[in-house]
Amino acid sequence: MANTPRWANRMRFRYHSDHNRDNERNAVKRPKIEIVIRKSPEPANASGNPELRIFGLVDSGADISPIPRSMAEIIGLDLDDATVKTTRSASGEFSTYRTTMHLEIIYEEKRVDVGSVEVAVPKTDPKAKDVEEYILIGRRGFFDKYRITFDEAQKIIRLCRIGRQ
Amino acid sequence: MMAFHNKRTDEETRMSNPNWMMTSMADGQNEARHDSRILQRCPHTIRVKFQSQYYIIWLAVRAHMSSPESKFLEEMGNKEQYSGQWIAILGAQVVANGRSITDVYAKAAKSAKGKTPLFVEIPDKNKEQTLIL
Repeated sequence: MANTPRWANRMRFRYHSDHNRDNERNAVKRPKIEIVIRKSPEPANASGNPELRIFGLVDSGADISPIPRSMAEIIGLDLDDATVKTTRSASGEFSTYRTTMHLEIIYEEKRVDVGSVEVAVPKTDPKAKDVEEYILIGRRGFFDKYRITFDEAQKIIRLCRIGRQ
Repeated sequence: MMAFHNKRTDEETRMSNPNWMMTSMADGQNEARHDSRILQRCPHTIRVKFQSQYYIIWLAVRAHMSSPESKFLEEMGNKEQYSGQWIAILGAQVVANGRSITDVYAKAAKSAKGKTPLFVEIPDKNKEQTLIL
């Protein structure tokens, strides 16, 4: 984190179009940003530390970052029964494994290191269906590093590193 | 109708304008207050001192696509053929597609050759998706 380049202190992203339409047939755009996730901060390695590049939905309502179990298995997160806790979402309560993963943001074709974020990985449960479909970037480990502005009118999300004016 | 579409907000104009806008301040106290307000409002700024005066320079920066793959995705014309599927994009090419990300990851790994593809789920065109998480 100490080596974050200056250009990465202030970033702005257009909302991502999910290519589906709302009731009025308008394209739905959401505050999703391109991220890379892997188990540990060490360089990616297909056998020991694989990484996944996807869009994550920035969600100020999520305490931590829920990720689908399929993705957790791809990047090889340790899912230990001793870490299981109850999690509540809009669709109900369900059990999740708690662990951490390493997060990077893709900006201007470069990687910006965010660091370790706490994640919740759902155990198999129909109530976890919503969480099984989306990767959310919750507050812990992310919102405490960036001042985040959702500009809904312009469909832009701004990230400003805290303490790097 | 054209006139309506041509209207642009200040933010849009600033973001698309390749030129710089400059302002100058002389008084030190006003400068500090002005400076902090500008920096809060406009993230892409630098402050330079020239001939005893400070200048705030706005750098016109676009909010752009993060990678060539996301740009390709945005401009991709045949998304409907992947409706309800996961796809893996590398450069300007879909290198794998399928119903589950696990399958697509396995397929893409063979052609990725050390690079990291972008994995995207293309929503089912027949389903309306309003998210309440």
